[in-house]
Amino acid sequence: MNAEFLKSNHLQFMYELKQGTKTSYYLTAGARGILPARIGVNRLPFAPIHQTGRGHLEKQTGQIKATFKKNDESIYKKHKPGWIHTSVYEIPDFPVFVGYGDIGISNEKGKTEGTGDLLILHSSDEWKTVSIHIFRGLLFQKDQVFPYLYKLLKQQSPA
Amino acid sequence: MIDYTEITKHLCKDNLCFDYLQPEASYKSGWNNYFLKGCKEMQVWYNESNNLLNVKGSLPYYWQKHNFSFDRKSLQESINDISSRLKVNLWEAELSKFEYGSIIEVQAKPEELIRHHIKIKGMETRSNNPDTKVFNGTIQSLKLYDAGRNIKNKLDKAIRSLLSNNYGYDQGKHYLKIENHYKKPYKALNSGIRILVNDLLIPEFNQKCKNDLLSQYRNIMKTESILIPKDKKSLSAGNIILLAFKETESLFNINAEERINSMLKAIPEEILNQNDKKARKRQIREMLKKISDPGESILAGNGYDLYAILEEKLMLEN
Repeated sequence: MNAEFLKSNHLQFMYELKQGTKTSYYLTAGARGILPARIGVNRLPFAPIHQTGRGHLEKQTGQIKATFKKNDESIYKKHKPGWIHTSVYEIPDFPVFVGYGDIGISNEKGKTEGTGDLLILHSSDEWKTVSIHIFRGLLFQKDQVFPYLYKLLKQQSPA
Repeated sequence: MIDYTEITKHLCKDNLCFDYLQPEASYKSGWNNYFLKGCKEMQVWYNESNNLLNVKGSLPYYWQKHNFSFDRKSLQESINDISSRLKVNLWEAELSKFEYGSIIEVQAKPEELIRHHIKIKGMETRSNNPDTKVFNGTIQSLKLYDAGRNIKNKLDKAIRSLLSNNYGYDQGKHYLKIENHYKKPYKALNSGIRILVNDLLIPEFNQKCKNDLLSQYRNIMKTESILIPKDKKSLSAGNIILLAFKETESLFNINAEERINSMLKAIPEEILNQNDKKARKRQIREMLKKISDPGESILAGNGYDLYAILEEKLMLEN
């Protein structure tokens, strides 16, 4: 998997914390029609380590919840109630990121189902803004994606 | 193992949190100096006009009050702790300086071992006292020091007993620390590309630091394994000069015995005749034999090269 392939599957979104709230964020940059304009991001700094469905020990560091509006159109809005639920887990070699997760959307039974799209959550300013990186279909290639995104961050951040 | 670090970050949208900072000094240059409250080991420097943050100090001393050992988990916890106190993500800050080293258990006195580590080509050798030696370069330097003495002098009893119980420290044994000080780590380790704090957790980077420590250590020119005779009779002033000469022969790529023989040859017959020369040659040969015979001397074993011990220790560290 080369950098060009990763680049072509990479979507980036920037959200800003709504004043007076602790978890409500509004989209400020990134393609429209993919993620909802408003999302809820919870930070779980002291969450206990637990056994997850992925069959290994992971520490949950955050959670993203959002629901599409009635008129929204998105690749992730397929069935009612049209939500996105993603648990975010620590990336041990890359604590610079809050964590990663599988984008979960509501299925025909109204339950959350994984899409296999890799989400990486990052915040460099103590959660005033968060950036969400999506790598379509690359959940199981995450170990190749993390170093790629880290390298990109190194090139972009002023330090 | 990571020890001292200097971390620099340009605070774009970050709002530095001063809740845990204790002001220490302000300078005309715009820099303000703070300590993390209750911990003099970690200094925080902030320049409001250019929005620059600098955090410097020994992470092991900050986090656990000693630097006998410092694993990956502790490193991660300490950075997370400082990040959350300052409300700044330090993982994406630049690692502007740092020290990477290891404490090894040694058989001989560290002072004796350090004495036999002479120089690194292209670096200046500094030694203000016998238990420390620094090979100083522009990009990095390599330091050897008596870690056991540091533990005894710097750490209180409670920490020392913690080291004995949890880390296998034995105050009767000798410990030597070998560490690389990176003044320009991006040049020394990353082909000029800046290094972020997060790099410290990436296994490939950690391996690079280990390899560099071993390679720098290998570059030190060490003296020959000279064995000091036990009997006073063998330690005449002339023999001590011979010992010192033999000890440094590898540094100058010469053969001590050959040099002595050619010197004897050069002495005119009127001063030393053939028999005189033969007698002196025999005496010198006997002395040289004595200092390479483990049964007759104080120091024995594989000499002063600690490469194998250091390599083994680094393999065990995570």
